Amino acid sequence: MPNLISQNFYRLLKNSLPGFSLFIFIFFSILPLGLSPFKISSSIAIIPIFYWSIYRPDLFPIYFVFIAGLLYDLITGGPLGQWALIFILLRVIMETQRKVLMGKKFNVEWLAFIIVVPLVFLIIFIIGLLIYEKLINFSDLIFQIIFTISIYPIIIIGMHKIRIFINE
Amino acid sequence: MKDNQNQISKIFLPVRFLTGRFTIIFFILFSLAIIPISRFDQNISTTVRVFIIDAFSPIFNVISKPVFFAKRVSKEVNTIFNLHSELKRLAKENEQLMVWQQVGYRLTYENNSLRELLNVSKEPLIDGISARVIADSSGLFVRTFIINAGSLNGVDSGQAVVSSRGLVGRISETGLRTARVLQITDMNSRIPVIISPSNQRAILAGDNSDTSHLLFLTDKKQDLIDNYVITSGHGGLFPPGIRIGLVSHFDEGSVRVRPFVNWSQVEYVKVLTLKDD
Repeated sequence: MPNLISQNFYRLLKNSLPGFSLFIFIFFSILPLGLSPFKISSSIAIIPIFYWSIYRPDLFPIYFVFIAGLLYDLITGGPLGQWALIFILLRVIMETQRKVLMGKKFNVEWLAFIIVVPLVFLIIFIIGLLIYEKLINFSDLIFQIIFTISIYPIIIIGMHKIRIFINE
Repeated sequence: MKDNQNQISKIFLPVRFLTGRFTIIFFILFSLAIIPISRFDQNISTTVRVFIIDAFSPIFNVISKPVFFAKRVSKEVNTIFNLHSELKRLAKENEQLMVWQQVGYRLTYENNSLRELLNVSKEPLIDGISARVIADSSGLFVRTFIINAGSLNGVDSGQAVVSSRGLVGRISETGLRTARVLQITDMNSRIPVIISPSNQRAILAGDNSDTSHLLFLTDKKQDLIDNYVITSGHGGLFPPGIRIGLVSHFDEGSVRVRPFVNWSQVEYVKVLTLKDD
């Protein structure tokens, strides 16, 4: 009996890893590495959502993604609801595309991410424009898009290892 | 038994499907509905933000420590490699500062004598609360960071925040143990300044880039380049005379100011408060 409880607890811990990874990314993106405009992009938190919505949406419930997005909005100084909306849209859209992307080569997956990132920034741009009625610095925007796209392959190595560990 | 289960699942499957759809639509609509709050009623969002940041401050404190440790190590290594040139630079700077010290003593004495003679009311004394940057909450539209000092330490909204190099920003939100600092480069930042030695008044406005620009400048002469920009103290929010930066260049008719503060090296800041006599 105790063995069963410990096994269940171990499984629960394993299954909570995708959600935990999202929080790790949220906190990582606000690390005070340097207050320069060219900082680690806040959009790196979309990477775990993109990945887990394709491979394990069952471990990444909608309400969890919404709460994480809302928390991210509250921590960062941006408009409330912005990241919550982005996280949910991404979660829903990527789940609908999982049949297309699952089992495909990494290049296809990365290409999908390359399409998704500018769309995410387009939403941020439109919301920001409506709220602040000001345009942003485009060099900053381009840097953040390129940064998020370029860091994806590196992060995915870790994510892939976590997925194998969960599926064991 | 199995038939019963099948029947139940047949009934509940569309219900689950509909609930799932409804949840998605509800969350999307809810997110869209709260977005305008940031624009029309900042008090609600500020209260919740402050509460959440205060609650998460222990995590911010912990995760920021390794970053500062790594930064300190890299700084130490850098110092070791540049020891000789740094020593020479400091010796030269020390010579210059000795001269300035004499000038400073003389001017302080002269200033005090003239104030006494003219019976000028005393300037309020400025005190400072030191704090550490524990999170960088900047995004595309905001330039803010979070410090580990709040209202319990005497921090209040509107107070000026400086680093060893000059003005960094002002307190925009205050929690019990944490506070959010709006950087001078944020697009919502407006600071009354004086350009020295041309002695012109202006408003320093940020636009989320590395440099800020000057608004309401009466005379945009080219010889403003390399002039000092300091706080004027108008409006009573900031103490006068805090150094901000240098006029760096002209860009499509606007006068750009490069702040003295090196953003990548801001680790500790001082929140300026008025000292009770």
